[in-house]
Amino acid sequence: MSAVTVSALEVGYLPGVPVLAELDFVVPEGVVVAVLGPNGGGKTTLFRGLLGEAPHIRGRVELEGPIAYVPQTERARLDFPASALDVALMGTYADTPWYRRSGPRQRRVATSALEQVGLSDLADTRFGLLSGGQRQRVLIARALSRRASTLLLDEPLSGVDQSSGKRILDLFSELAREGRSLFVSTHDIEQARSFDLVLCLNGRQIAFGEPAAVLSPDVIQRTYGGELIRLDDTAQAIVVQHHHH
Amino acid sequence: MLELITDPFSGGIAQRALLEVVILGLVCGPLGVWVVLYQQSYAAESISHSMLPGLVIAALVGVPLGLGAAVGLLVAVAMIAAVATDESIGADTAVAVGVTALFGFGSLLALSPQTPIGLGELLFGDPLSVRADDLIASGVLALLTGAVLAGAHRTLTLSCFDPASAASLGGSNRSATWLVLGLIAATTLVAVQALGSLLVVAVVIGPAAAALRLQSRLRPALWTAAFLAVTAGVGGLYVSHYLELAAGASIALAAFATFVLTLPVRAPGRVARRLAPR
Amino acid sequence: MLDAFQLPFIQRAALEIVLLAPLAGILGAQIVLRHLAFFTHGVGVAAFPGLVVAGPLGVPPAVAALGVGGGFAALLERSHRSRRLGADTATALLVVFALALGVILASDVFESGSEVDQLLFGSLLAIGTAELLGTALALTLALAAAAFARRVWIAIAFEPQSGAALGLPVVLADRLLLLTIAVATISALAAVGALLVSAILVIPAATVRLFAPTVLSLELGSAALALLVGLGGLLLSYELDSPPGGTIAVIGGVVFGLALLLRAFGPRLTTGSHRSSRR
Repeated sequence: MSAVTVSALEVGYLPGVPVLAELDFVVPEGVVVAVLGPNGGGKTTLFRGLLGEAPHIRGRVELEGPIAYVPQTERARLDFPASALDVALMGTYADTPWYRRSGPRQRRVATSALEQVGLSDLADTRFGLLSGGQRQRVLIARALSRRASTLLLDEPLSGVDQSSGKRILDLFSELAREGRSLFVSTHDIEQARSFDLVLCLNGRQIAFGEPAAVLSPDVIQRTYGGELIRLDDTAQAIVVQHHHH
Repeated sequence: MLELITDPFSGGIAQRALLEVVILGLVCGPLGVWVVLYQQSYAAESISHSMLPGLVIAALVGVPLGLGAAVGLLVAVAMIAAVATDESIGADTAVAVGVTALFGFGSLLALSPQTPIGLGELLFGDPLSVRADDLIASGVLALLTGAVLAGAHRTLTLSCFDPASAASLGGSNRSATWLVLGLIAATTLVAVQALGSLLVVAVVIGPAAAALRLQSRLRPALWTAAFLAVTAGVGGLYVSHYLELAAGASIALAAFATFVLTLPVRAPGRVARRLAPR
Repeated sequence: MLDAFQLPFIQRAALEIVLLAPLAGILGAQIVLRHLAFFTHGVGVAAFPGLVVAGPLGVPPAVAALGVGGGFAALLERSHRSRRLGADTATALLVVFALALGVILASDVFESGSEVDQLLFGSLLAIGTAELLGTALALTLALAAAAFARRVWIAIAFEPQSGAALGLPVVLADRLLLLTIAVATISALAAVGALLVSAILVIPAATVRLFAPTVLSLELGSAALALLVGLGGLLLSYELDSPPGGTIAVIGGVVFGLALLLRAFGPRLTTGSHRSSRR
């Protein structure tokens, strides 16, 4: 079954001026999709388009089940008075009517989400005191308590140390095995090779498919254009200029 | 001994003042937590000045002053919220532009022919001047604010914690901003009689900043802020009675003191403070 | 209409505005870029206890105000650096403290009240030589500070985190900026009053910020707009017999509103308005 079907989609903020065009892809359930592209190439716009927060100029998006966004951890307020469990609970807000208090049912959902990301022992720890990798997992737990079948992750591995990065990658595979589909935006082309599918964006869809087929030097060149600094011809060592936040 | 405690509140005026500061404390404390978290202290400090044109026009036209003040505040909220949506300007500049222009307009109206109302009372207020109908207004405000804060708790949480994901989790950034500004305006309108437009912000910010130093989770912080704000209000009335100082200013100083007293507290753990991306 | 400029008190008021306009350029740009509007407002309001004690102690009001305003700026600078509290919360707490102190001093200790009106509204038409000298001094300080630190200010405004790593004297430059803004604010108090200082120092820069592509154009544009709005407001207030501070604030606000509309609905030729694709 396909989790996300996008056909002839154009996303933009002004009529007639698409920021991202020619989007055409089908993502089945249970896969991890790497989203590659230069700064301003449309990765965030793609996510906002899938979430329905950026206007669709034309084309359509079909989603199987709820979709959730997982921001970079430093986008969240570290001084906000909330424990890891409180943050995971935020995922249940959308399904709880405003006049009803969060009860044991919501707590169970949030607790099991924290369990799934391996953080149940830190449930009462203040979010701002967790490490970068732990915070990223809490934010994934929040998306899980949203009961999302599709997760959009904004550079989840940037600023995370290697062992936490490994845990997060393992978590991705586990979530995919459960039938969820994940869109992971990243700057790391080598990492993208280990994912199931790759979507290359640069103002429009450059390529989509399995990494081995898609990630040719030509596609990478067209995706990154001027941002690319190639160290040698084998495309094994590629430096993409990072942007700061 | 007991007289020392009951003596200041033997008269009807003082009893009304006591009830008023308790009610205002219950409103201002929890609201203040959101004001601090949403970094809207400037709006809380300044929005009261925007009542001026409304007050003057109401006095000239002959409608109730409260109505004029409410309209002035509403205009200010709309201006700030509209300007602040522009990312290149930011919330603080929006407040500066909106409130300064409105206050300037008010001073034009007020000072050009002759000043129709005593600005001084409005600026500094006096809890001992509170009448029964002010108390009713404060009570209604307290119920309303409590209901709104409870009903909007989730959207306020989502937008404050992480605005980028708020919409996908059922929140709304725009309505959160409006709610915080609107509640600041409503509280200012009601509290101005007792505390004065320049000092309302003390009871809003002081106990809330203290509570956020003492508590590491949201709900306890909201209750602690309410408790501290009430304590500051009552304590301020005692100080004012025994030291014979201006009551509004005494309450403001007591509210400031609640924060200063928490400065040595290191709990709830040192958090590398990162302000929200603008 | 320009006959008004024959009058000595109008001439002095106009000279005050001419002196304030470059401050609106140099400092206004930083105030808008660094989000210091509340700080600017706060320094002005917090000067209140200084004005209250000036009379009884026999100190010139501007000196007392400067003392309190400078102390306010120094305390805030420390609290910004410790990062234990949001900048806006710290400012609000200090403003509250200063105001409450001022009220108690005014009503219970010295029993004076006239400072309140003076503080809040200023009186551009009663500017004396001392006030003009004060503003000229503030301008000199600002020019000297900018000559030394302007490049650092711009670097910090662009990216606060990496300034120190680039080997820039970030702390010193920051202190200098806050001090300079405090001095400029106090010098503008006499003219427009604490509640309307923003009319000169913030609103013109906020308006130009909507369009300015570079910091230099922001500075020059803000100074020019402050001069225009200031002199225009002065003339209009003379014609209408209205308070000049309020008139300047209203004109500034209207110009800002028009600029906002122009940018929202006008031709898209501006560079300051790239719609961010990241959010």
